[in-house]
Amino acid sequence: MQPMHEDFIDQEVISEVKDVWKRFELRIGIFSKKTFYALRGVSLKVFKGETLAILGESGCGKTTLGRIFLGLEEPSRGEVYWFGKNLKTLSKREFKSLRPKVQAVFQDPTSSLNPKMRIKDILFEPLSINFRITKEEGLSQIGEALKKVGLSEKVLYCYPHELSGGQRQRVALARALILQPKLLVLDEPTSALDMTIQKQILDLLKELRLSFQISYIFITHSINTARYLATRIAVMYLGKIVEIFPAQALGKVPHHPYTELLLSVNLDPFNPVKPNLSALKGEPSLSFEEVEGCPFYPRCQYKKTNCQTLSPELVEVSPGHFISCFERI
Amino acid sequence: MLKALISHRTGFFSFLFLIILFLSALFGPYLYPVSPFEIHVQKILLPPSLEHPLGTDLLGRDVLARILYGARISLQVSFVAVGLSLVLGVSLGAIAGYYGGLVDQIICRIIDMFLCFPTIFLILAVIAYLEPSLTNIMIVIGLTSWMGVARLVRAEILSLKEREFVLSARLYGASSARIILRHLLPNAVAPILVSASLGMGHAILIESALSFLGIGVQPPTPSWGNMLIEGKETLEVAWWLSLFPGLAILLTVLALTLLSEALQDILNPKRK
Repeated sequence: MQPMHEDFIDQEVISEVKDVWKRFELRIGIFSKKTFYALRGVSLKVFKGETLAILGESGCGKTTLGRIFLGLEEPSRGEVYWFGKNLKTLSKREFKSLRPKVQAVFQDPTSSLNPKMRIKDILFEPLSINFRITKEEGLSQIGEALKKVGLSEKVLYCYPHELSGGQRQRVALARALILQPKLLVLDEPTSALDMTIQKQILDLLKELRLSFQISYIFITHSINTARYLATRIAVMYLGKIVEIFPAQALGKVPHHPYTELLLSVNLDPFNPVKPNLSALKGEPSLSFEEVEGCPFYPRCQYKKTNCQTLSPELVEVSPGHFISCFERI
Repeated sequence: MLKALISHRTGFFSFLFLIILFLSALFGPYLYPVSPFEIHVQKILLPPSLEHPLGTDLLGRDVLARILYGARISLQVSFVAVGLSLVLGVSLGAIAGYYGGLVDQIICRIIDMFLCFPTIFLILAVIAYLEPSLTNIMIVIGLTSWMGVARLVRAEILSLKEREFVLSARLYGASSARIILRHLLPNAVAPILVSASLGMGHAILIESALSFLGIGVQPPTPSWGNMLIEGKETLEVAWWLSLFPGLAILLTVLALTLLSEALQDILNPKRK
């Protein structure tokens, strides 16, 4: 079983989630509660050096999945592994030593930098917490990190509001990189930026991944940025992964009906598939209960009767290509 | 921030007034070297004149000197009381907002409990039980005025802690204490400052009210509140005895209130 994409560097698993569920309780009134499942049995591996895009519309649980990978939230059920170690059984000390290796860049560069701190202090804090380091060593590492992300040392004494959105996002990236992470979770890092800046940041991310062998989990709702940056794409729908495939295969193989829908409504002039806006029907139902059957059933154009009661598993249809759909197996 | 304050008209004037008040409380006794305690039987109830700019009282003491000395007392009371209420309010509010859950529930119920008592009666009861010394008054005012600050800080922390820079800090391993002290509270300074300046005005008013009721600062130590009550009996013949301490209270509290409004304007980026 050889994966299809070119720069797939290693089979070494950096991080993994196994059958992860995340439940939120919504209090409605005094006595009634509603249970909301953000994730419903997600299993996913991240390999060394790859960019795994998690693609899905808002509310599908992609951000929650990212936070679970980051260890910011605990799953209600299931396990999270970092470098082969289960986070649940990790001692505080071990967790602390692994902590710098898994970092993140968030969507909004304005809210991801503390407005009351200078860039110098924003970048020095992660270093001083995780490593024994003097001010001078710190400053030289900060200088290096700024160089990596293409910023001059002029910004050191600025406050975040004195920088542009693109510059702020670069600072956020430098803050994550300064700890030399092995896994970087990028939660829609470009969706708050201008188109030209988006391209710059995406190119920078590509370059950094190749030179430092970092794995990315790239959370996005845009099929175009996923195509541009990712080596592998996982498509999520209502808290479930419905398809995983090598990024190169996008649009060239039979896809899950939901991915098909995403492709068909994508307004990209270079899109091989013609936009077909008539395919856009309905909205995702909120997964308040454990829905039986296929989550995509209400919107699917191929639906059959047993789709409503039976839940399709993720099945490998060709090497590296997994689909959960009875129509495609 | 100081620059913005200077260009804000009401903010500037109230700030200027408070600075002058502060300096005159500090250095007044040197600039106007008349004892506020010395009794002159032959100079009873003199109206304002060049020798005694604000007149003299029933015991022939100089009113201006007493107001200057009273400013010290009133400012001291307001600073210490507000300091105490800030320490209590900020720390409890930050803990409640940051940790949430049961801790939050308990702290909120304590706040509700304190808010249930009518403050002035609580103070009356405590002071009647203890002795009405300056220290006790400052502590009691502080202990009964922290709830507003706590609620404010809690709400502020609740919204701040979801911001992504706080998530980032957790990601690089910052401890809870560091997150609260370095990342959350510095971003909540604006509402804290506003409520502190309001609180100082409030403390001065409470101290005056207590002195007026005779359980505040005890004579012969002058405070604006007890000067006001001393002037009450002679209001028809010697208006200056009540008017000037009353004016001092009015202007100071007004300046503090206006300053807090100005700070609200200046520190709120959305109003710019």
